[in-house]
Amino acid sequence: TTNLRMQTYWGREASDVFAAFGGDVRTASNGTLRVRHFTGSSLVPDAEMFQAVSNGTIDMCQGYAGYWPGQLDIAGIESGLPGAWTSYDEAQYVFRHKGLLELIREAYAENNVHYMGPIFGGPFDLLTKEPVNSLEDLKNMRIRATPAVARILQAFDIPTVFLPGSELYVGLSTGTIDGVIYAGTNEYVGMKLYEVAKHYTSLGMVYPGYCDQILVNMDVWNAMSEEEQKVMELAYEKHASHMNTWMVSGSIDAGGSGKFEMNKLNAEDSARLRRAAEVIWEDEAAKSERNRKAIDILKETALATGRA
Amino acid sequence: MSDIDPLLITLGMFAAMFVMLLLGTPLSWSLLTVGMGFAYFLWGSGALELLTISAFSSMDNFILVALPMFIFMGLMLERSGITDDLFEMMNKLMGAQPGGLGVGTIVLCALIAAMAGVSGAATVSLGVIALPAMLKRGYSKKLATGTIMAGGALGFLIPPSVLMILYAFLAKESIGKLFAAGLIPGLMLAAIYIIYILIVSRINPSIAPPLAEAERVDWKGKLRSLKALILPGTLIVTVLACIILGITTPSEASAIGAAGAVICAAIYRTLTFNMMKDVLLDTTRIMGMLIWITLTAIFFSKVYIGLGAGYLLQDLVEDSSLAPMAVIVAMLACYYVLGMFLDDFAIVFITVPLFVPVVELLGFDPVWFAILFIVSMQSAYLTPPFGYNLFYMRSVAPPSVTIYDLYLAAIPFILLQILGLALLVMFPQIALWLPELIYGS
Amino acid sequence: MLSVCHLVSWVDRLSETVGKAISWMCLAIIAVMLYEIAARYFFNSPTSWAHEVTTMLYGTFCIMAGTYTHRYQGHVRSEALYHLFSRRGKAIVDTLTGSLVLFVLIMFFVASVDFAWDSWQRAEVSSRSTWAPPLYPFKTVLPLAVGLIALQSAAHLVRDICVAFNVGCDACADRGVEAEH
Ligand code: NA
Ligand code: NA
Repeated sequence: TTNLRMQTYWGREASDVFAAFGGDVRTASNGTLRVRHFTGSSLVPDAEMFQAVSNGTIDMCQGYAGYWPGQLDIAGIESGLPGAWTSYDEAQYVFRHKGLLELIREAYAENNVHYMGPIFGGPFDLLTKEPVNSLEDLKNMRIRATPAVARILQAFDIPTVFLPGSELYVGLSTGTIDGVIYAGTNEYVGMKLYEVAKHYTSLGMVYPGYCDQILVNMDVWNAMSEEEQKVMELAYEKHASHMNTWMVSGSIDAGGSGKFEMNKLNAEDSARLRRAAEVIWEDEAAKSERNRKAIDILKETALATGRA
Repeated sequence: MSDIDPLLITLGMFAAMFVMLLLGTPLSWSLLTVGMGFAYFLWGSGALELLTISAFSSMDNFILVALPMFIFMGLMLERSGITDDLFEMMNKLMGAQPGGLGVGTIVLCALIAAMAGVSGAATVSLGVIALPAMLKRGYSKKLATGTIMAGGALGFLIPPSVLMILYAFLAKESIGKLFAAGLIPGLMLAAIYIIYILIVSRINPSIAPPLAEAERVDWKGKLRSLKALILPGTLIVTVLACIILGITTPSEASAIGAAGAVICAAIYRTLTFNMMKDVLLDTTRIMGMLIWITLTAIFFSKVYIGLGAGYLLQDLVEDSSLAPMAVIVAMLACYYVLGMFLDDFAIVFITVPLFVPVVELLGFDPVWFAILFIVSMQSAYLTPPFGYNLFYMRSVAPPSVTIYDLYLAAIPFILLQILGLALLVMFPQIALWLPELIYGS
Repeated sequence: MLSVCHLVSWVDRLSETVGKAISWMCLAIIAVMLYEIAARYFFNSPTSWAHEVTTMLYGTFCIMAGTYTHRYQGHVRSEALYHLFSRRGKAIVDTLTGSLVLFVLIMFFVASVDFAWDSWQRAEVSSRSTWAPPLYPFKTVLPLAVGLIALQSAAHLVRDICVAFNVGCDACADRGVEAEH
């Protein structure tokens, strides 16, 4: 039997989903493959999972490429660029029909990692203490955002601040920051952020708002028999759909729980945000030939769906 | 990956650790060697990467920046002469009561605790300043040393606290919340010590006599002595307000504290180039020790968890029919046993990844549990054979005080700490009231 | 024998110098953070670089500090049984455990060189802020620090062997002050 150490960045809240994945792998392989699941940061920091899989410290992971754009050229595009896609179907189209998946697989393979495929998440939007109706409202707020989003906000003179995830609650409650763009309603409920900031604003920048993946160490992958690889692929496909349903359902439940004041940025400002994102697209494209191809896919899709 | 019984791995790793520690190998090298041995043979060469990743994660962390800052702040204030002034003030304010000097020492310990991030500062400086004064006035050795050792341990409970920062880093908790939660239990423990000193000195005044008439001052002198509080008081309030009210991040507040300490020393006219060099070098020495324990203990605990043994505890709790509160009590008992043999930093790194998920699973508030942990570590500083405050006291006390005197002196205070712990277990609001008041719930 | 002694005291001086040099980084950390606070509150324009610069200064400072601590035997140990041993007894035990530790530190050094080399090859940049500085110089600090610690460990080991076999000289007798915690 092969035991597979798999770390995710998710905590215990997602344990059932991963238990189901582990059960599928074990049953379908007649017990020759066993997944041992570890929750976020329990073996390596979440941001180091790509490197840890590459070196064989852990055998596989469910990670989020937003942690490692500095280590892998295509990671920024993989994790979900602002303006990249606007629906689940479109994201599937980009990955599986237009070939983004193969480009990403090629990039990871160069680092001794097998990329199994994407797992689409739910929304990724703004949570603030005060209501936000326009970009103008944001100019007097300090926002905690990921680097990619921070670059866009800076284009509108909106100040961004760095704060570790564990300090978001206190930071919001005491006014060190006025808002965060960190995840969706589901995660904001998990972190109890609704207690201190209840205005949730859909920015309309990108949906699905983030994109996880499953990575397997290449040596471990190659050591598997063809049947075992098939087992892994089937189990991944089922898991990707299961996980997506779980994340999106959680967000819908949380959004309707009465904990948030739900709001939406006006269409014009959303369009301004997406246009500002084009600078980032160009930066990403300039990183490598492969990235250029990936960005071309995004542009073609935007044209085909009538967004550009 | 091995399928070796987790119980066997647990026994093996901890037994090997214990042997190396007994042979006098420094803690960090013991953790490193045992972790590496088990990782290499049971995990494979990929485990070496685990070590470099653990090391880099303790370097590449914004939260931990507060560690050297708070250490620097404490050392700077200690050398600035503020402690002497404050002790003089306590002397004037309380010296006239039986047990007054002891009570004053506890109050001073709490003040120093609010200025310093580590627990050594108060024990060493008061061991130098207050112990000779108390002994000279006829205090019993046991009461005098016990008071300073127990009061000195408050440094980790009353914010700022290096131990809380490490706990927050490991458990992904907010530093502000932990600091707010530690304040009242810290003051409660100080109050318990004070009540105890007043009671024993009432029963037997000869062990804690008041100052001679000639040494006492009138109320004007008392009032004037209060000005010693102005500088340290301002600094303490500024730093804690910055953190607890979230005006800045905890790391930034620690830098404000460090800068403030330099300013205090300048005002006291004790700031010199040599003094600055000494403080910087001492900070370097303490940080070097701390960070190498940090990274090796993280590595050790990751190897332990990665070999599948981390599940041992969670499975045990989930399968057993133990009442949730019994599990908490069992964990606290475990802290007391570990506290006899291990360093508090080693304990935090080994147990937090194992215990905190269980605490959350059982539905308890992790902030509350963090405070229970810190209070348990108060005792670890006093329990023989391995107790920092015992060593500190031994190193500054006159030769007439033996290590066995110190063991005996610590016992009543350990019992008082257990009393405080029991109160916290029974009434979680003692810890949770303040954070809930500030941050809402 | 004499040249070995020279080497040992040279290593001691190296650790000493490194410790003294990096200790000033504390003041740099304070300065950068105060600047950031001022930029944010008084000029409402938080910097994109301050927190990462601080983190790098801190990381370099603390990991390198280990060498200085080691120079003065400052890594805390349990004295429960150890303090009962004679001076020579201690040296013998330390020779045994010290060689083991040195071996492990050398493995650590090799692994950390790989770790840093990986980063150079990827031309890795930080993923944390819009500033996105290169990470490889910072990652290179790790093998540097581990190498220095291993070197100092080797020096301590040589001294322990000298005492254990009664071949000490003046340079070797200086085991460093037992620094308090
Ligand atoms: Na403190
Ligand atoms: Na102890």
